Amino acid sequence: VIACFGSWMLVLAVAAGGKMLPTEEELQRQAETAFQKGVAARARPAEARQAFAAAAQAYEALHQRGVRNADLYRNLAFAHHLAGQLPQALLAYHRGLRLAPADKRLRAGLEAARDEIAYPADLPLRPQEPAWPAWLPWPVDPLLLGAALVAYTAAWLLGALGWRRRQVRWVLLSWLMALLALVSGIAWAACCRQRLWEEQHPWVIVAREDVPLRTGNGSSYPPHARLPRLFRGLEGRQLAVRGAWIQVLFPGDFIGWLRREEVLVEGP
Amino acid sequence: MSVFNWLTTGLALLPAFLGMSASGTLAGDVSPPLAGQPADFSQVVGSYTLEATATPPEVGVGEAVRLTVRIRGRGPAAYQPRRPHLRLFPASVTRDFYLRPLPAEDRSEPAEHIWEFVYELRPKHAQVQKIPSLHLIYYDPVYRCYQTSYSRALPLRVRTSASEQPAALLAVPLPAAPTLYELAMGPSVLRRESLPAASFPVHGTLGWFLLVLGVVLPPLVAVVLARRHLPLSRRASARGLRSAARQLLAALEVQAKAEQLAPLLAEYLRRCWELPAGRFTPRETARWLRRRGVSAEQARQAAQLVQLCTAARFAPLPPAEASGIKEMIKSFIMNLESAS
Repeated sequence: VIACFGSWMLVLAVAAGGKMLPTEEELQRQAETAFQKGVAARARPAEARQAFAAAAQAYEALHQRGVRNADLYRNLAFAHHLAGQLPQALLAYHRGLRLAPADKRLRAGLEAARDEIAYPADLPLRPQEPAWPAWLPWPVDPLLLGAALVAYTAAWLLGALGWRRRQVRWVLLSWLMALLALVSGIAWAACCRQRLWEEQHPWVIVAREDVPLRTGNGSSYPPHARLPRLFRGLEGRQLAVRGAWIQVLFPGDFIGWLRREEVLVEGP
Repeated sequence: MSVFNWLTTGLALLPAFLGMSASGTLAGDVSPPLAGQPADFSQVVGSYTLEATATPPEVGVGEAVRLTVRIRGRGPAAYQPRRPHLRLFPASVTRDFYLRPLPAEDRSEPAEHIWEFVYELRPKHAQVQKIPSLHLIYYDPVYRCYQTSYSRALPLRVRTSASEQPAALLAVPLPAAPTLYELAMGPSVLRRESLPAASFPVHGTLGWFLLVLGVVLPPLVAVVLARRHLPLSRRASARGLRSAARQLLAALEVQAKAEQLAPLLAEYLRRCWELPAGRFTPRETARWLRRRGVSAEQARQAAQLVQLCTAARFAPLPPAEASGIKEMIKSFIMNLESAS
């Protein structure tokens, strides 16, 4: 009897809990409402930031439930950014860019967030902007692979035309296409290699002010000689994990160890 | 000796001291030398001291502290302290504070040899314990070297707010970029996309097969399409014709047997007219040559020759008839050559 009563109570509790949890659509509506409230209160920064923080919280809940897309991460990043939560904003920007590397608004937002971080003038700690011109389409893997295959096929067809017609112009065009195919292929391989490296070394963002950077994975190790203290929003790449410590590579080739709870790590 | 030295040294320094005290400016060239100029040089020449005061001494995170920097001293008018040139703060100050100059509240009293510059500092976090020591690097023309005047570090107590991070930014204006305020809406926000693969993008047997196919297929397709649909240019055909025709004529001179004529003719048609191997029949040969632009009469002759040669393979001919066929082949080739 007790077991039966207990199981019924459990079923009721689960049912009640299920009703209490908001659906994904409701969470989205909550986030959008809070965001619009923040926009309306733009002249009063304190109130606006609280509203943006609430929006970020709702979008974060969607992420926790497994929703993954560039639009969500862009909204999340903007909400965190406007709430003044720069480390979380940077993390969301990076997550969004992983899914949509060509998204110009995400890139612009990322640079705007970095503009708000006070990097020291004497150390090159700000990550470099990609040198790719903004007016060109972003070189994504499928685009490069497609360009390489099309140019390769065109090179053969033009070569065959030149062979049959014995005309130099077709042969030259064929060589040009072969060159294009080679360049696209090399760029595709470089892109793949870069992406592999980035996936093996996710972004790490310092979440607090005045975080000590150690030379080893323990508090007894001495601080880093040139970069003993880190500031909030500093970005680096995870090199290794050992227990509760993470080895991070920061721009300027500074390598050191941090406690895991002091950083945000870009993960799935 | 010592009295004489004192007197000469005193006389040498006297003009400089007199020049300073009389007019407040220095005589002669007072331009600071570029050699050895420190990076934080504030473009100030003369002799100056620096002091700083801050109010209030206790603030919350993100709240404003008014910092007044007072510079006292004398120097030539062209090189007196000016805000755009001042390099007073150490680089580390931006780590702990949001810094905003307040030029509207500056005070300049050159007659009294006092200049005041006002800044607003907002601590970024509760670990801040002081406003760091400021420095003024100026060039002293009397000693002909760069000097540094320091202010004292000012103790500051920063209260921790209940919610630290948002409070740190309460008074800071929101970012101005309009794109940050544009939200993506609709069902696209709830999509579930998979992250890109974490390995080489070609997976499994099928992936490698497709990649190899992508490499091998284009040349095959190009060659087949070209051979079927693109005839050789006239120049290339003529060159091939002459070469192959010469070889055939030479072979005909050597070869006396009638049954060997068919393979020779087939080889000639294959090399010069790209006749596929399975089409060496009278009808197919005539049709093929017609498609290649050969006249109807010559195509008919070719068909006749193919028939004769094929028949000669299976029914041996007397030498006279064989030599007749040879002559026919020779004249046929010569006609084709001249026509092309």
